[in-house]
Amino acid sequence: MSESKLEIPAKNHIGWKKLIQGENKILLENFVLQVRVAELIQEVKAGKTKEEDAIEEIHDLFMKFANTAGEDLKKIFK
Amino acid sequence: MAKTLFSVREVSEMIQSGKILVVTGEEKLLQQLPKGKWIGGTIPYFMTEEKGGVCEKDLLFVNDFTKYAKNVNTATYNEANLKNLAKDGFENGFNFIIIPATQPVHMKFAIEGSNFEKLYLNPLVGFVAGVDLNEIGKVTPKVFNGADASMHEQEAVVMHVELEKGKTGKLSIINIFNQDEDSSSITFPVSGFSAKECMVNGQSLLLADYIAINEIDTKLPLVADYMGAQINICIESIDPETKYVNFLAPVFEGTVYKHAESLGNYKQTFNDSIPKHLTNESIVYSCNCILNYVHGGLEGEKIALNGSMTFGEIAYKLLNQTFVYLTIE
Repeated sequence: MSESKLEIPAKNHIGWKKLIQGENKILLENFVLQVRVAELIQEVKAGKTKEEDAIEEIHDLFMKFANTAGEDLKKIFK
Repeated sequence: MAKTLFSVREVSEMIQSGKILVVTGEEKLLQQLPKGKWIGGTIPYFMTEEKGGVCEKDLLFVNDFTKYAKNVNTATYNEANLKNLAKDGFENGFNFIIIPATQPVHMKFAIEGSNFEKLYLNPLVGFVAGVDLNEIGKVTPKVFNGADASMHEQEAVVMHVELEKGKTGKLSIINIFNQDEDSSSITFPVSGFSAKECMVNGQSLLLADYIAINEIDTKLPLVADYMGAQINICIESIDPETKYVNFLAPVFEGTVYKHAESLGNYKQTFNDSIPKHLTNESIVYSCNCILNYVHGGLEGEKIALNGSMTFGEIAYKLLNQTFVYLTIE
């Protein structure tokens, strides 16, 4: 699939920070990303998880599921 | 037509030939299976190719992972070591869990699971084992570890499956319930399987009173929106004296819930919700909810996708009234 050729932005890209701060209401498509991003946004908001740790985890998940996360990447980094 | 229901003799032959299986059915049937690469759990309700929706006491429902698995191991987990269930898995693969309903491992997974190490790095799929609805309170759900053909009432069983390099497991759901946009927003001060107080549009209320005053249909779940994924919480019961509302999955502090929109015909709505190109042949594993079987009137009816009708569906989290499916990309 062409999705797999998409480059995943580095962890210091501002898009990850905006995502994990819940700044933009984004509807994702990949179930694992929907669930974990939603949980981490709440955990960061509640002070249970550090922002940088949340970004690290989400970045790792996108790397793992790179072949099916293309549409979600486009939504986050449009 | 792919066969989904098998006799004990047929399943025993599959196990003895080295097949890697998840087997679901009655306790007395599962107890007869030999040692091998399988795990199992009690549930007598299925959506099958052969009979449609059925409560089946004489045959076993089989999911075969043999052609996908490079390697496999099985283990049982108690309340103390449940947190290791994903960490113990292969670097690339998926983890399949069966949990006996209402036991402490069930509660622990549902409430604390998202904090388990490496939980999200590989798909975690599975179900909560149950019993015939007429036998609730008389018989307890069981899980089985085929490695030693042992039966467990209080522990969860997990099959760790390794996939070939380049293959990735993907978990998805079909949830025919959506948040009713006209519903009030409900939040809870603490996470748990029951709640008394809640906030409704920011106002502190007793949930039981709110449900009664507004004549809310408790057959419909509360629904949370996880970045586009609709996650259901079903109401099990309301204690009129204590005013506690009991749920079939935990509500979480800070999460916003709304009532579900009313459904039309379950069967039609489900079939209309199936993604294009998704078939039983393209699915590695799937399960659905006993409440959809009951409330949807699915006994003797056929919906397009098969699976056990369980006491809780697992797709990383404990879900309610949701069709869960695993594919390999």
